[in-house]
Amino acid sequence: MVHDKGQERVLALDLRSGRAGFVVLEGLDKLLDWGVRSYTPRYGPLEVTVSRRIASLLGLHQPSVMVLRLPSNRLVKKNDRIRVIVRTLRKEAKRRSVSLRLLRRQRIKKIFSAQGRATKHQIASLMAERFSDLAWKLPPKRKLWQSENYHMTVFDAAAAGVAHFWRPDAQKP
Amino acid sequence: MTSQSAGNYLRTHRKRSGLSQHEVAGVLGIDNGGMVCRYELGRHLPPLLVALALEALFRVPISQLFRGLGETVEQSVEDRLLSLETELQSRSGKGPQAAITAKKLQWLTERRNVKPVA
Repeated sequence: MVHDKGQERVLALDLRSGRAGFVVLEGLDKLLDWGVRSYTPRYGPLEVTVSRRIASLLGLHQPSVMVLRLPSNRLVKKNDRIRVIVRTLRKEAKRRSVSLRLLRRQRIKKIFSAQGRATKHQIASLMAERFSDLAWKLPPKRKLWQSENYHMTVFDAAAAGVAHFWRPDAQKP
Repeated sequence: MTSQSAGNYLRTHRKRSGLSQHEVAGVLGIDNGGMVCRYELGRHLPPLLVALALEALFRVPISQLFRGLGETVEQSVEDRLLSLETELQSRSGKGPQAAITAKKLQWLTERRNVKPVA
């Protein structure tokens, strides 16, 4: 495994319009926290809700980098909520002096494709192998007519976190 | 860039176990899970008996469960010990007082060579 960011603490988020999966990594191998945070409008406007629900993670874990896994460009352009969420998180990161890195879905997929893990389930399985604490949440492979499992977003966030540590000359993510 | 250690790793170990805050509270002999939440967020520090119970529950030493706090406390103790050592070295006593000072300085030197307990 090749990585150059040592024991950097990373908060990786998989942003959806209604919720975000998150993982907190310390270095490439240590998983500190994981879960799903929803932005149910409990505290008023979306900005306030996101600020409260996600920023609390920044306060709790004090990461040095926040990695956001974004949907495709087309979806980001179409989806106002995602744009508001990213803007709010950008502000929060700036306020707390946390570096922000945006990773698009295609970029993450490209990194894992090099390892023959091209599908979402294959990438999730790889994450479950790497982080045994997540293994019991790995959903079965989705059938065409099924909707996505609630916990899949955690695996997407984990993949974003691992992709953050990847560098071009590395053999494996 | 390396981030500082989190105040504690209670949440990590609890989530690894799959136990809820309420269940952990029950095992620790606390009334409700709210207190466990406060310990995890670092808003409250558990009393010594609860900290020992956490060590027994997760089979992880307290210094590792509360690593951030442990590092801060250790640093403060080291700083204060250094001040004490400087003060002892500046003392110019004779007779039994000098012997006690010498003993303390010797212990401080020996202590430096002993590895801290993990």
